[in-house]
Amino acid sequence: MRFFKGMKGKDAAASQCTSNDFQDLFKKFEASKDFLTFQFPDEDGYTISYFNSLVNAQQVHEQVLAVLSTHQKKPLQQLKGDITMEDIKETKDIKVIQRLILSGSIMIQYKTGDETCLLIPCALDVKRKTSIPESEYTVAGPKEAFVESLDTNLNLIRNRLPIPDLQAKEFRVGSISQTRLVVLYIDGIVNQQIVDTVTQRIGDIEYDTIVDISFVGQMITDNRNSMFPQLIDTERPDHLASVLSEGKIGIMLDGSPHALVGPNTIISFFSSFEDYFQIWNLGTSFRLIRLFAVLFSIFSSPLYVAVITYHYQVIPTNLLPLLISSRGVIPFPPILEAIVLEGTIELLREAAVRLPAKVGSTIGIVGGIVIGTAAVEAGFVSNVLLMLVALAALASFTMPIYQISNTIRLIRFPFLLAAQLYGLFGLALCSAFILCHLLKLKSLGSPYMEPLYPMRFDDFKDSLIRLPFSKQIKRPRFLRTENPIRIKKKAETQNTQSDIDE
Amino acid sequence: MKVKMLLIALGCFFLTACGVEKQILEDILIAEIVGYDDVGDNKIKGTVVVSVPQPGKEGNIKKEVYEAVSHDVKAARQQENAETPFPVVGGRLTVIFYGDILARKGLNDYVDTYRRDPIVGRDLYLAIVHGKAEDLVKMETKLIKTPGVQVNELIKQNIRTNLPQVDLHTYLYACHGKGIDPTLPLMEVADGRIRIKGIALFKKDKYIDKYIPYEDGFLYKVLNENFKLGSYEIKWSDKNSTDISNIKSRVHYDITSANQDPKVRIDVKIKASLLEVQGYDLSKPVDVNKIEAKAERILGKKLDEMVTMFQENNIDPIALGDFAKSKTRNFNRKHWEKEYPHMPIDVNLDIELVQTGIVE
Amino acid sequence: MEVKPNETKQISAFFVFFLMPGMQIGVGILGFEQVIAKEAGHDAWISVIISGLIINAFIWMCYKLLGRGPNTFDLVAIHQDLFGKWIGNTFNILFILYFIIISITIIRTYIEVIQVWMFPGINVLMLLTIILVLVYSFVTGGFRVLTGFSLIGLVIVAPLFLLIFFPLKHAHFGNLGPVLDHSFLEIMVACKKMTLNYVGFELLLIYYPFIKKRELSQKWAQFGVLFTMSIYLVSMIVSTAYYHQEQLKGLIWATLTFWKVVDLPFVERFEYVGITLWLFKVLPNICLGVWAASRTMKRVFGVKQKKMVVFILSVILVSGLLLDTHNEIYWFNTLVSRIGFFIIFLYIPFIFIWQSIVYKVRSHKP
Repeated sequence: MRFFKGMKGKDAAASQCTSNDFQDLFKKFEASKDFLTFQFPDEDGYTISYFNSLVNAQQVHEQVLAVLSTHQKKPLQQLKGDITMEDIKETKDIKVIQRLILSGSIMIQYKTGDETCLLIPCALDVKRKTSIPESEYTVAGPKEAFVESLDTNLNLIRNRLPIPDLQAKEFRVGSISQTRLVVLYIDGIVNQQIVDTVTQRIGDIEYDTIVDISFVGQMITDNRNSMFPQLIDTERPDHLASVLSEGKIGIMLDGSPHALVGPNTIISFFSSFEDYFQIWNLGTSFRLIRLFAVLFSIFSSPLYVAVITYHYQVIPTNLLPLLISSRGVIPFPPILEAIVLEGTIELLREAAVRLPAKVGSTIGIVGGIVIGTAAVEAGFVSNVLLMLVALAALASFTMPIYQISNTIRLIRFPFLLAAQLYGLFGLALCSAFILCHLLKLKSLGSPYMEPLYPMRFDDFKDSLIRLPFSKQIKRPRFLRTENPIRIKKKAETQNTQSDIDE
Repeated sequence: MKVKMLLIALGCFFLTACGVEKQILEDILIAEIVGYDDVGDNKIKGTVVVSVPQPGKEGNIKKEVYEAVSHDVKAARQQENAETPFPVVGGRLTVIFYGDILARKGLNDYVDTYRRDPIVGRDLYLAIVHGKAEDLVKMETKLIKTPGVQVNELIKQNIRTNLPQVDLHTYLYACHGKGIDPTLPLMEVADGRIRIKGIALFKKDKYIDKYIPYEDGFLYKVLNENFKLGSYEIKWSDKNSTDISNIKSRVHYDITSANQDPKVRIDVKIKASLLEVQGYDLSKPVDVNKIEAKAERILGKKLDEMVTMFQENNIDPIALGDFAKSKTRNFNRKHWEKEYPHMPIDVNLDIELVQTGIVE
Repeated sequence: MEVKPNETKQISAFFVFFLMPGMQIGVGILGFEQVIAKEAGHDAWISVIISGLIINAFIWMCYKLLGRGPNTFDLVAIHQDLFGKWIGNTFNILFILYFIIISITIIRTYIEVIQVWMFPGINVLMLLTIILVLVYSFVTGGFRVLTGFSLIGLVIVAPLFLLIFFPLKHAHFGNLGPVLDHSFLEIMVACKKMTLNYVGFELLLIYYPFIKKRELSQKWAQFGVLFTMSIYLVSMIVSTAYYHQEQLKGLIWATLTFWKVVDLPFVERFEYVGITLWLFKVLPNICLGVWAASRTMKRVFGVKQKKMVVFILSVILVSGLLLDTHNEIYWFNTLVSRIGFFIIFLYIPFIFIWQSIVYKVRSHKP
């Protein structure tokens, strides 16, 4: 119910820029250069007005103006039947008129100054074609990614899930931008409580212009100050389609080539969609490797600082002379050395992201080879640390979800400071703080650490490990789905009884 | 909100104000080998080797030796710091040497600090030096690895064949336990190399100035534990000898009526292979049996002598007393200790030669 | 008299299994061997088993206590039901103090371990403050978060239990014989000392209302105690085999010394890693203690639990600073042991019998 209230508020906000008077509105429109108003086909003809920049000129010529010029002038009611276009509206509701004209409709009045008018949707669709996913590229699997147009995106999803239960609730967010937002879910699978939570939170959004789904993401997550993302941002329609059938919710925004998916557990951020394209044992192994990569990426340089600063005892005997001689000439304490090097890597990464792809690769070479070797030879950093930091950076690139890789980039710095403060013990303290945060965190009301805590053995089948599809009989328990069964028939067990050579 | 900010500011202040004392790797000298010698007048001389890797190139290691004379170990360490640029730390000690004169007086006072100090590991080796520990510590060996690693590996290698386990834990176990006496390797400098001379025997923490020669270390190990490596040269006569190589040896103690009239039987079973024989024709199976019988006789005699030697010196390095205690209800330790020097101890040896190499 | 917490704050019965070792295994296990070996020598492992079984009986008693009356789902309610408001609350306050001093001993002993083994010159005030801030952020997460922390803490330190394998290489299992060479009295004295290492199960009396399907949870509680017992038992047997009796009697932290022999290719001197990871075992202990104390305060005085947590933490901070030397800490530990002994061996049976009598009398005059 809150949601409707919220929508009312939205309308009130929108009406700030709606003049009550038709004439006022018209004046406002005419102040813009690209607003056209003219009489057609002659001085006594209809008054036609539209935004030149919003309508498809070809469509106007062929399907509207051509019809009007060949027929005699008729009342609007009859004209509606002549024009062969869908969804033509006849109205005098000032709000509808404003909205439709601003989204690319042509307004036809019987004569200038009439309050009743015919609105023909003729919007110019400037959009790119679907292209290859960039941030979630996989070698195997479909190569389609979402684009900026919401309708195209919905088309991509509906093609994959041709069932009437797939429902798309539409909202408009942003008091100025009035952007279309769609909440997608499969009715009968999804837990209605989660849908209610999401709709309520979307209703509570208060902002003027919402241009990207990440705005929405930040506004509706459970803990808005958390470094850990709670909603996955995906650009793959196949990913969205498959999680929808698990019972998750997708949120899409017009103008944004990404969809938000929730609720999630922390482990879903470490699982690439490609894991499902491979046989289960390979998929599991890569998932575990990725998990190890995360731990390595976070802990390697802090461990270096902790061990070199406090715990020379734990270094293996054969490594000891190597470490001492690499550290020998460095003028800085380990912490400074590590921060300088980590900082350099962050700089390189930022620079490479901001630059066009071709220049970006040069940056990699300059940074990686030139600066790296120069720094070691100048005795600014030790080569062991250089190797560790480079490996850690590499490991953080293995993250399939962009948001979590940012988190991992930054989370290293508190660990570095803790290592400087108390060595290994500092690392444990810092991890305990993070663990505390993670335990308290929820994603759309579901526990973030599931299936570790609350411990649900069923859900391990697709978390740290991925078992074969035949084992994925039930949907994940943390989604509390209305229909938890995924595979109805029991898998045939003919192979179990066969003996050798039978 | 303001309170929170204040708390955060206070926290930062704390963090910067009170750290822990750091031990940055290049700002410490890591002691690898320590030697202690008696210099008379109730004083000891500590000699410590630290390896100082040369910065820049890996594996380029320089050795430095520092010395100090003092009453106890800790004070000696203090004094060493007077001449070193960085503090000497003991967290990575691999070997501690004691001169034999010091060892005769008892080692407890000089081991205690290593037992107490949490910074010291339990896998470091203790050894007695025939002569002065200082000479051995100072000796320039041809270094491939750091000095600590080298001596450590020398001892570790021999523990597999000829030496019993000699790390700090084992020493403490034997020294503090009742009915068991420790043994330590006896090292010497010979021809500019560090060499193991034998197994030094102890009565509790005191070196009794007797040792088992290196060659017979195998026999001691056979008596003491089950193991799988090592070899022994049996001499029949001055010219002829046989080399048997151990595949598997098992020892079992059997103690009867420990509280009244104790009798001990030690059963040793060796499965060995024959690798070098002089003066025998191996192609006939009869001969193998003869070799077995003869080897049993010769080795059995040696083992008997060894056990008798233990009894004569009233030491118990193979822990018979401890074994008796774990097998006897209400064990009377005083009685056992009184009986030990003259109780009958039988050694039954059974050698089985299972292989003769790749020729017949 | 509202006892039942919101359902979203409750935990399933299964997690009681983790809460038991979560509260019982703490700093005690790092050095309990010495204490009981002094009494029962190489037969100490028998005492570990006997006292574990005694605790099983006590847990049964606790469940009886909790299930019998109407609305008596936690200790506060039981006290008020049996003794009336005033006397009942006096007992409640005693329990609050008990939980607080338990937390103090745990945190102070752990800091002592860090002082001795890792950082001799560490600033106790600062370390204590950081740990208490951590405790605060956990406790404010509520009981569910604490349960999760107990579970994950146990998962994190689980590999440490496997390290027992390393000392086994040098173990002399002959040291265990002859079995039962000590008198019954000696073994029972060791039992008494051992029981204190199981302290923590009585928290059940506080968190019982937080369990879904409470009746089914007894099974898990019993299994949890058996799990604790097996951990203690393995440590005891291995240290008997690894150390000579005389050696063991002089070792303050026998389990910690085990880790010194761990020989892994990528890390030497494992005890530093071990002590560090042990934080994840000690923190749930402290958090649960503080939570229990503040929860009881809330139930008795009807105040906000958050404020009480801050109050308790400042008490811990001050008293943690006052306990300075090893002797003081040892003295305090002994004191807490005595109190713990009183609570477990005398008070729980007493209240159990008292409750039986009261209910019998009540049922006679309807």
